[in-house]
Order: sequence, then structure tokens, then C-alpha cells
Amino acid sequence: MKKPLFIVLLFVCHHLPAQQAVVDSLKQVVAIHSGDTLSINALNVLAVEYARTDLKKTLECLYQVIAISQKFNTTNGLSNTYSQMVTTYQNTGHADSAKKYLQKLEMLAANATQLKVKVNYYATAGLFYKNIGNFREALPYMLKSLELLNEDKSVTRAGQLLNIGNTYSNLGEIEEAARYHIEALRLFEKLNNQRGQSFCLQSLGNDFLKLDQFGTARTYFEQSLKMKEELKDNRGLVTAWAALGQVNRELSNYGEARIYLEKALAQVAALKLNSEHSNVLLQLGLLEKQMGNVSKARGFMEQAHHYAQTTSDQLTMVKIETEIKALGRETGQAELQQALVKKVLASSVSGDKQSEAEAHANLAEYYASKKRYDEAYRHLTKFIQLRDSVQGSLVVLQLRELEKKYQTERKENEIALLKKDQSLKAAIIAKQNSNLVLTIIALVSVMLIGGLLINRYRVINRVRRHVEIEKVRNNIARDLHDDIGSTLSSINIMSQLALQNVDHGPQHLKRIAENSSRMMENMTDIVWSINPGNDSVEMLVARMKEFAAEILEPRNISYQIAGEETLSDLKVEIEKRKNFFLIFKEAINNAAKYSDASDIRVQFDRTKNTIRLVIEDNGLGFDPSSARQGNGLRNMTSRAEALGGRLSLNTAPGKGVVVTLEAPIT
Amino acid sequence: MAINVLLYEDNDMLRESVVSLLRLHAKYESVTAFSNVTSVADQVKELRPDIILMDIDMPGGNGIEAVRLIRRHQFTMPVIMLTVFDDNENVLKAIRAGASGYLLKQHISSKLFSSIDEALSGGAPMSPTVARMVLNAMQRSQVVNPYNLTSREQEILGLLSKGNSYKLIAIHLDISIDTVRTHIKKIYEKMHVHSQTEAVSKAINENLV
Repeated sequence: MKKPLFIVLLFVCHHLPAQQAVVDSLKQVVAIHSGDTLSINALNVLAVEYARTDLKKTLECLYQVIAISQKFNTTNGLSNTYSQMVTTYQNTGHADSAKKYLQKLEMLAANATQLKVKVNYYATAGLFYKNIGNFREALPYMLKSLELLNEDKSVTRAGQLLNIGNTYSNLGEIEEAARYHIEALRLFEKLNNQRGQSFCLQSLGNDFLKLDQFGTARTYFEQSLKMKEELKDNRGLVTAWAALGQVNRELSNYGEARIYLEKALAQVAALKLNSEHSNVLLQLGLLEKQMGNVSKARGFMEQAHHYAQTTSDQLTMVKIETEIKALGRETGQAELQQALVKKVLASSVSGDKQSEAEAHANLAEYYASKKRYDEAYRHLTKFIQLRDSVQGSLVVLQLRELEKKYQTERKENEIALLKKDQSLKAAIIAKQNSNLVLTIIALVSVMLIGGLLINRYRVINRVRRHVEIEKVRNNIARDLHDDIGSTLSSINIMSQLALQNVDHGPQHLKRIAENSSRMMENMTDIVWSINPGNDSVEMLVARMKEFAAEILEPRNISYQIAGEETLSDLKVEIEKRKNFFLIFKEAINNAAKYSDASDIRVQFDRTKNTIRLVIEDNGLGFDPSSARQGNGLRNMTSRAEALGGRLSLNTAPGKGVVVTLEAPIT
Repeated sequence: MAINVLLYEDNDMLRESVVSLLRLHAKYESVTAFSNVTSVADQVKELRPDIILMDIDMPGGNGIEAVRLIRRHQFTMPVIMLTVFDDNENVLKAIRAGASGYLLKQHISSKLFSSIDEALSGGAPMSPTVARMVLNAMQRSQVVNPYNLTSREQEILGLLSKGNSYKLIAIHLDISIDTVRTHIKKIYEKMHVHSQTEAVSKAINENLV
């Protein structure tokens, strides 16, 4: 029906980094098509977009869809909507409403024949259980939905891979988790979906975090953060900042950790994201604890507990309770022990091996302090067992292998593409030559050489570009600094003078006005000359004509500009056009302001390798020998020299002035 | 005869300076200024200005969108855009959204009053840079002559984009400067009308896909 437009819109959603543009175009579709199936789809996509910045608006969109769907009875649209309602209600802390819509979705899926609807139900149910910390329950739903998506190579499948990876991570099976995360990342890269990639990078960071590989984790988090910033994904920034806060705390960079966590806290409150709110507060509490501020730590943790309650996340609530109790010096030891045992139970039910291990470690400490060593030993053994299954060095090794394999595969793809010829020839040689050792050597050396050459080529280019950019940048900085810097200083000085000496006030003010005008002009000149769109000689001439008109017409000085055609097709680089233009400017200014002329002629000329510019006025002229070398004249001469050319002045009293500039064409 | 001016400018110093500058003349005494365009439609309806000065770049509320909104509400008073640079795509967009002209911020102190007078008497100033942008946009568009300009109008646009002033154009084509100005005003109107139909037809076209 209107499917093709939809696919285009979805593509657009995934390709445009600017979220506002996407939202606007979707809103337009809704406005034009209010009340039919197309708007249902648009509203659903719009709700997804808003989910990144404003959950209230998400709910509004979804209600609209339900209203429209009642009229049209479309199962597909309705199933998307219910699914989003479950997630949104969960995230804003309305657990009951979330459950209600999950049941509606289940009924819808049971009666529906479309595969999409069934897949949607399983995926949503899986996510629902995962979000309340019930990972064991979540996994079968997610695996079922993935099974139904077997042939699919789409964003839906990639998203499911990601969710399953996250669930395994929570169950402590890091190797499985990383495997799913890497597969999801690959698929998202193939689909060029930046948002998905940012989530995968975040998840991979979490995997390494669980293995205490803080440095690597941080790298992944930083990559994810960069992408999310480009995508302006406000919701995603929260998790990225929170994770960076945690990892920096583990690395003892307390200052950085605090900065990230405070950012996350501000954003999470603005978005009313209760599910993340408790985590951020807990991290802040742990930070304060590690820095030794016990009362502040307690404050944060109690707040965290409050938010965890609103989302019914049993596991998180218990975790926080334990931390709080661990802080308290006044609480009876028995309470602490109870809390720890509770934590062990909750963790083992939900399958979170990491939390279970931590609880056992804490219990071991507690019993040791009570001198009940056999109990302590028992818990310590359990802790080591659980830890090993999560963090065993074997797992770390296998994870690194996986990671390396993935990176090498990417690089190999690039090299293979560029050196297709070489590898083809190598293959032919291999076929002809039956000697196995020789063929292996050939292939390996080709890849090595290919990789090295590409690297070298890239590095050289990059360096060259940097040097060029540096040069231009330095020149611009110098120009700005000199002229504008000094002008600003003199304006500052003159204002002070005007304040102190009221009688001479008006004079100073006049000079301030002149100086600031001149400065604005200079800035415009500099910006104009930097713009690469202005590097043709036609643009330069056009600007010169504009300038002449601005100065001469108000003074009623007639003028003619001729010969511009002789210069067509020349390209002039930044420094040269600046100098050329400024010489012209100075000459015209002098003629207009000081010579009392009524007519000015400008002539462009070109011989084999020289450009010539002649500016002639019919004014008073002056005596060249007696004239003092003013700043203006000196500037013109030095600019002409900078062009590699020559400036000559032909004048006598009463005979007007002829300024001639000759410069070589590069 | 007092002239009611409405100003939208987010930079506090600049906004206050312009208001002070305007109040130097008795006839511009009643000038109202705002720092954002969040309630622009209501404000225009209530204050009924004779002319609006609108900053192009304002955070949290685009000057160009505001112009579009004003025209959509059938308000016909001239709108002058205030901009730092005139080689900016935004100036072109503003004109197509219905602006009557624009003024470079660095020329405010010298040209504010003449620009207001010109806009109120129906003029529409165009600079070589804007002319060039219009020509480029026309060349890039799929349709030949998308704004339906006459050959004279295209000629003037071309001369303007080469840097010639209105005076030089008048001399070159042997017509008066006023005729040049009238042609430029016509070009503006055609751009504005065209951009409205363009927006509608774009939407229709996409729905026919």
C-alpha cells in the first residue's frame, strides 16, 4: 500500500543524524494523513523518536494510535503500539500499566496470523522481564523471538541479538553475551544504523566492565558516547555517562567520575527516567563511599532505593539495601547478615551470578569478623566458584580471541577489497603451484604488504593535510590577532579616556565608532577570503565591484570598471586574493576620500604571465617626493611584494593619481 | 505619523542598542522588542506592527520559521531579516519564506533607517551574493526556470550576481534605477509565491509515490 514510503522514512530515520529533521518530517506526514493507516505507522515511528528525548510525548503519540486503530482494526500497528506502551510505562515507573498492556499484546498475538505480531510479543515480553531484573524468565522469550526471525537480516533481528546479549550479560555468561553483542554490532554496521551500533558498543563496554577490564571497557563506552552525542540521543547519553562514571570510579579517577555522573543525574531527572535514575544514584553513592563520605553516600543510596521501588526491580532494590546496610555502623550485625542472605537468594533466583558472588564474599567477611571461620570458609569457596564461572581467566582469553577475530575480519575485508588484483594473482599462482608452503607464504605476505602500504598512504596523507590546515589556521589567527586585537585594545583605552575626561568624550567616541566599523569590515573580509567558494577570479572581481559601488556611489563619483573578461578562469589562493583585494580597497579609499576626484577608471589587464590592475582618478594628485610615506601607501607596497609583484604610483599636483599593480600569475 | 516597529533579537546588547537607536526618532518611539519568537503569532496579532525586524539565528526558535508563521497568518507587513553574513543559505531561505529583505548587522548603525523606509515603501534590496545564490539554486533545480522569471529579470539577476550595483545595471541596460528596483521586487514576490507552491506540491508528490 504505502509501504515504500514507509521504508524510505525508516531509512531516513536511520541515516539522518539530525533528529529534529526526522521528527519534523514525521509530524508533517501525520498532519497530512491524520486518521488513516499511514499516520498510524508515522505515529509509531514518531513515538520511537520521542522515546529518545521526551517520554510524555511518546505516550501521547501512542494514545493517538490506539484511537485511530479502533477505527481501522489494524493488528500490526496496534501490536507496535502496545509494545511501546509496555516499555514506556516500565521506564516511567508504572509497572502495573506495563503489565496490563503486555497481557493485551499476548492476546493480540495469540489471535493473529502475522509472524511479525508474534515476534513482537515475544521480544516485548523478554524485554519486560529483563527490565525488572528477572533474567532467567526473560531469556526463553527472547530466544523464541530470535528463532522466529531466523531468515531476517533486519534491524529487528539486530535489536533482538543485542537484547539477548544483554540478558546473558546479566546472567553472568559473559562469553555468550559478547558473542551476541558482536554479532549485533556487525549486523547494525551492515545496515549502517548508528543508533544500534552505539547501543552495542555500550553493551560491549559493560561486558568488559563485568570482567574488571576497566581500561577496555572505558574505550568502548567512550566510543558509544561519541556516537550518541552525534545522534543527539538524550536517553542513550544517560547510560553512557553513567557507565563512564562507574568505570572512572573503578579506575580511581574520582573527579571525572563525578562529572559524568552529575551529567547523567541532571539528564535522567529531566527525562523522568526512573529505571536509570536509581542506577545513577547508586553509582553516586558508591563514589562517595569510595571517597570516604559516608553520610553523602547513604543519602544517594536511599534516594536510589526509592526510585528502584517505583520500577519494581527486585534485584536492584535488594542490592541497594545491602549497600546501605554495609554503610551503617549503627545497624545491628544481625540485620546485615539477614540482608546479605536475602541478596544471595534474590540473585540466585534471577540468575545474576555476579551479585550472588558479591553477596557470598560479603558474608564471608562478616563471618570472619565474627570468628566463625568454617562458615566464612564455606561462603568464600562459593564466592570463588561463582566468580570463576563469570570471570575465569579462560573466559577472558576467549573473549579477547572473539574480539580479535572480529577486528581482524573487518581489516581483512578492507584489505581484500583494495588488493583484489594481487590476491587474485596470488590465487592463480597458488592454483598453478602445487607446493602448499609457497602458496601460504604468498598470501600472507600480500596481506601484510597491502596492510602496510595502506597504512603508510593514510599516514602520509593525514600528515600533509594537517600541515596545510595548520598553516592556514596560523595565518588566520595571526591576521585576526594583530589587527582586531589591537583595535579592541584601542577601543578599550579610548572608552576609559572618554569616561575620565568628559570634555573630550565626543572625540573619543567618534574614534571608537570609526574603529569598530573598520573592525567589522575587516572581519567580513577575512571570512570572505577564507571561503573556498570565493576562490575564482570572477568572485574576486565581483567583490571589488561591490566595494567600489559602496564607496563611490554615495559620494556621487562616477566610475568605470573594464577588462574583467581578460582574467576569466584564473584561480587565486587565499593569501593572494586577500592582498589583491586590500590593495584595491586602499587605492579606491584614497581616491574617494582624499583626492577630491569626480571620476575613477579601473582597468584589468593580462599579459602572458602577469595580471595588471590600473586605478586612475582625476583628482588633485600630490607631489610624490614631498609626500610622507603614510601607512596606507606602505601597506600597499608590502602587499604588492607579498604577491611577488610591483606597485607603482604616477602622480603630480593637479594631474590626478594613477596606481598600477603588476603581479605574476602563479 | 508614528511607525510601529517590532524587533526580535536574542543578543541583549544588540537588542537594546537597536531600540535606543530607533527611539532617537520620534516617529519610531513605539518600538517593542523580544528576545525570542515563542509567541510571535500572538504578539504580531496584538501589537499590529507596521514593520518587523527579525534576527535570523536565534537559539530555540528559528527566525525563518517565525517569518513563515507570520505569513501563514496572512500578515502582510514587511519583515527585514537581521544577519551577520549575507553569503548564508539562511538569507535565501528567509526570502523564500516571505522576508521582504535583509540587513547586515554591521550596517545597522548606518543603514537601519534607510532600510526601514525602503521596506515600507515597497522596496526589496538584494545583494550580489544573494543573487548568486538564487541563480545557483535555480540551476540546481530539476525544473527549468522554477520561479518563472522573465528574461529581463534573469538578465538583471545575472548582472547583479557579477557584482554590478543597481546603478551600473541601470546604465548597462539603459533603464532607470527605479525600474531595476521594481524588477528586483518582482523577483522576490515570485520566489515567495513559488516557495509556497513548492512546499505543497512536494508533499503531494511524495504521497503519490
